[in-house]
Amino acid sequence: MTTFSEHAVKELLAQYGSHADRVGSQRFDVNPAKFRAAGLKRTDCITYVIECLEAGFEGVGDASAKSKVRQLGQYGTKLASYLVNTKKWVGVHINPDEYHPDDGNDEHPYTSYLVRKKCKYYNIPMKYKVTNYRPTPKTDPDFQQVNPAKAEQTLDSVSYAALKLVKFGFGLSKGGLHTWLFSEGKVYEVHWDELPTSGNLYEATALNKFMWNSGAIIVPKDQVSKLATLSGLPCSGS
Amino acid sequence: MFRFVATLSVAALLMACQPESKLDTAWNECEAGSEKKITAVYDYADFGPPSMSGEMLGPEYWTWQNQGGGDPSKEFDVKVVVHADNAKKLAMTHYVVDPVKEADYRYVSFMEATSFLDFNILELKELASVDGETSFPKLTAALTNLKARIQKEVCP
Repeated sequence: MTTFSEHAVKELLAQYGSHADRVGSQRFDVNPAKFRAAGLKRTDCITYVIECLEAGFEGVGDASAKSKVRQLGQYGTKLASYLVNTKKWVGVHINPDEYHPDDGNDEHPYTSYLVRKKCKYYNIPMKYKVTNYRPTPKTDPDFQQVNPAKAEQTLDSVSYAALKLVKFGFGLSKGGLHTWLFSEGKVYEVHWDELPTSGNLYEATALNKFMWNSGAIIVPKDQVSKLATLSGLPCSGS
Repeated sequence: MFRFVATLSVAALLMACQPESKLDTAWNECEAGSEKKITAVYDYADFGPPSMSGEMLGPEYWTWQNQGGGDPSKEFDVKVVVHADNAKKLAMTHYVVDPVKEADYRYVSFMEATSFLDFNILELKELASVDGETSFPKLTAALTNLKARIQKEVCP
């Protein structure tokens, strides 16, 4: 029997591999009639997420969840909360360096602090964390900008390797400012200001090269066993 | 006479170029002879990272969008209007959200703003006392400074 994640990944890769009929929403909205006449469909980061989740839920015959995804998908955080609270998906906090963000932004160490304390990322329940997979070196100008007394972090390649086994996940950065998909170590995203011919409308990047720093990956039930080697966050009760 | 009319015309032209708020500031007076105003405007980022302030202020991206795009370095010039506790309507009248002009405001009362700052400053200080290495000293100082500014600049 085909799982939710297999259906969703099929759609993820299909769109990533072939998107000549798509255009970024910011480009589309400038002249909808022109793009419609050319047979192009509007897309952006959350639309890519919604369509892949819909394909997954449709594939496993869950029409109610499919409809809910479309309804809640307007905001990434609401969609993530629904998936965790109602569909029993699992939240994983990600942060390439928990204490020394390479952009000097308080946001990243502060989200890690909240996750350690409350097991929540923007009120989305988190069960695991995968951090320090790209520690900021001492030589970086932003090293110790936020936490001057904290030492350089050690690379955690073990947790990162475990996360790479996950076939499908829904990712958020900066509380839903950007949304994306995750599959086997890579981030798949859509850029809303690109044309189909730009070569950059859809992009795949290894998570440890992804420049958004902290965020969360919401992992479907059928993939949760891949996270078994991770230590659960103490506050999550696992 | 010509010179008088010309001077008046130039003055009228200059007045027309001024933002409305500079033409009439009486609406913003709340204490005679005081620096305090009914409203004062701050940057979204003054209130700390979005993961700290988002519940009170909403997301850091434009109110009229449901996402912020795919560029991690993109910044949104969102402003926070701190207003006297009974003056939200007045603040909303003078600081209007307008997608065309990319004018985005969030409205917070004096009480909400200072309570938020008190809570988070205390939390960061407690964190520093428990784990001195994870202490966010610049953030703590920035929030403390903002609280002092609000107390000096806005009527409760």
